[in-house]
Amino acid sequence: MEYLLHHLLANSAHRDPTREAVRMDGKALTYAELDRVTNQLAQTLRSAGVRRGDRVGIYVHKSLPSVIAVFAISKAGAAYVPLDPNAPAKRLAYITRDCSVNVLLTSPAKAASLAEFVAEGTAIQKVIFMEESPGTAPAIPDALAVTPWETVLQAPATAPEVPEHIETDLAYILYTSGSTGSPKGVMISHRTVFTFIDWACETFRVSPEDRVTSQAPLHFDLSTFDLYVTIKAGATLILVGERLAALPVQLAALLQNERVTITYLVPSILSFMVNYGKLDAHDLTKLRVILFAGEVFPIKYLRKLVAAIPHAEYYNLYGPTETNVCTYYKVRAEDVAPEQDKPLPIGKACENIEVFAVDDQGAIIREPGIEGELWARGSCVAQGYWGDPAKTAKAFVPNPHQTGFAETAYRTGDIVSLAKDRTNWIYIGRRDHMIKSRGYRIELGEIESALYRHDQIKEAVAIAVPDELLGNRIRAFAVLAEGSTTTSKELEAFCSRHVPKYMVPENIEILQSMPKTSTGKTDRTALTQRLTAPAATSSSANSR
Amino acid sequence: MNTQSAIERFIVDDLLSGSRPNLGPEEPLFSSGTLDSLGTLRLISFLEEQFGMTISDGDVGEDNFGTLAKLAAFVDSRRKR
Repeated sequence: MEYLLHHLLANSAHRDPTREAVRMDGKALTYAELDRVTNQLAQTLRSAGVRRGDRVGIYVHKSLPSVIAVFAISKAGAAYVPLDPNAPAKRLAYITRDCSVNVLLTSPAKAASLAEFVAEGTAIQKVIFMEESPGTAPAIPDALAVTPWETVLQAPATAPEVPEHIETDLAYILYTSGSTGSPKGVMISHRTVFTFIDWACETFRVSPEDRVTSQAPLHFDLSTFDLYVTIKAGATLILVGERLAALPVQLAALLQNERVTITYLVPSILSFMVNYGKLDAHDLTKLRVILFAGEVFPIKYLRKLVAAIPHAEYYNLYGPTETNVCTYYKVRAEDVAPEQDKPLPIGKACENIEVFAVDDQGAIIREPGIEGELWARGSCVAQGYWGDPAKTAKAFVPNPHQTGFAETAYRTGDIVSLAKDRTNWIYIGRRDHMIKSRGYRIELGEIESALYRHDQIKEAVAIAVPDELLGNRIRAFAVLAEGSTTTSKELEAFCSRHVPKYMVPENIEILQSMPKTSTGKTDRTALTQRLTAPAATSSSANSR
Repeated sequence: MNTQSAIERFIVDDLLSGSRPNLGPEEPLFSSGTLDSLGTLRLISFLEEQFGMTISDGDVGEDNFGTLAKLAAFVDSRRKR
């Protein structure tokens, strides 16, 4: 039986213990090894007091330990909370307080940041190092109890008993940008993520022979495909280090050398690779499925990619963190024909999911061409936002289609229309200030809130400038307090201490006053025009 | 300003928002996280405009972009052509 994430690992380890489960930089763990070490870490977590339903933090870069961590936490009966290893300590400390993360899995290399966590105020009390300390033990704040990796390896190699652990328990919480300034934690149960895993495993016919990349960081839900679909199938997971996202030649070489068969990446990384990765010099004949999600894939780069790797199947996957993937679309030859530049549809609903769109009057859309908000229902829908019933109630609402009993639907906030074929949905855009950049979901309001924390700022506005390669680039404008001598660079540095790097504006322009509309609101259109008008285009705004 | 200093100024001032004063010539730019995908794209635009060169398919890898010294050597070799 498989209904909890770690069952996938235990079953595959039972079927084929000697197959490689995960590889990175020449190091590997077989299924038997991964099963055993995750048992030991789960035992260590139980000894540290972790109980069913607790939240355990993961604070490591993509590595063998990050894979060990997710399965061990599941085996211990807890939910994992991935902390972006590149995010500022302030934001991460907030997350640990928000969902009471008492135990953290990390590596000695991250020890310096732990002092910052403690200084900011954190709920973390215990730290388990997932690697041996090199030489001298790192300095750790006195407030934290540390368990070294050597101790983990002495724990019993059998999985702990967690008899009350059930499929509606939370598997993980992913924090996503919040418009009012604080990130919000999307709660995902085992049953919810299994809806996606089972559908994906079958749809892409994943088998033990497959070799699947894992590039997206753990706090990004693309990672759930890599981790769980691969392990369910008993296939091999090829971890891709963060730096390869910026090194297209090395990324193409990894796909070739590791004989990768399936990869799931955001379009900006695929576009970067197709433009700069020298694909024609690499043998990518093994690649059979290329999946992408998170943002619109510009057709001209997709066309180039299909030309370079013509034998692969391509799928556009769509879905917010709150539903994981809820629609999908298989790319056809005519979608990338010469002169064709219409964006791909987001497609139709996956198994066990229904999607529909609601117009401004609240009516369900049944005809092509009419715009409305996309709603999703089914077992893919998340359990809401951790500790935030008000935000949960706004987005997770009663399903108007189900009048007989209570059922929850999720309002995505995405505006769509039905295609002429009456089957596929077309993504139009958003009416709020949520944007995507390199696949990351960003609330412009969270950036503005960070800027407002600076005592010299009177007004701040963040603007997204559409960009073919990145989805969007972020700029900001600020009006300072009278007589302030604060510089743009100081504001950028301040912002980078409050929000992750992917949310920091490339440039913050200081204005004497903010342009206003006739109703007194900030004139975002005027600010956007200022950034996109030819005269205002700065040297770094161009892309190919 | 020579090639290496110009690139160093761009990375330190524009990509790192001046969060540190300088870069070592042999310091790895990717494994340290100094250059991520957005930073690399901004650097490509900067190099193309500042030095009037074209960065082509296959150029963006550890060999040419791995450190400040490698970047400067790459740019100088292209400009001589």
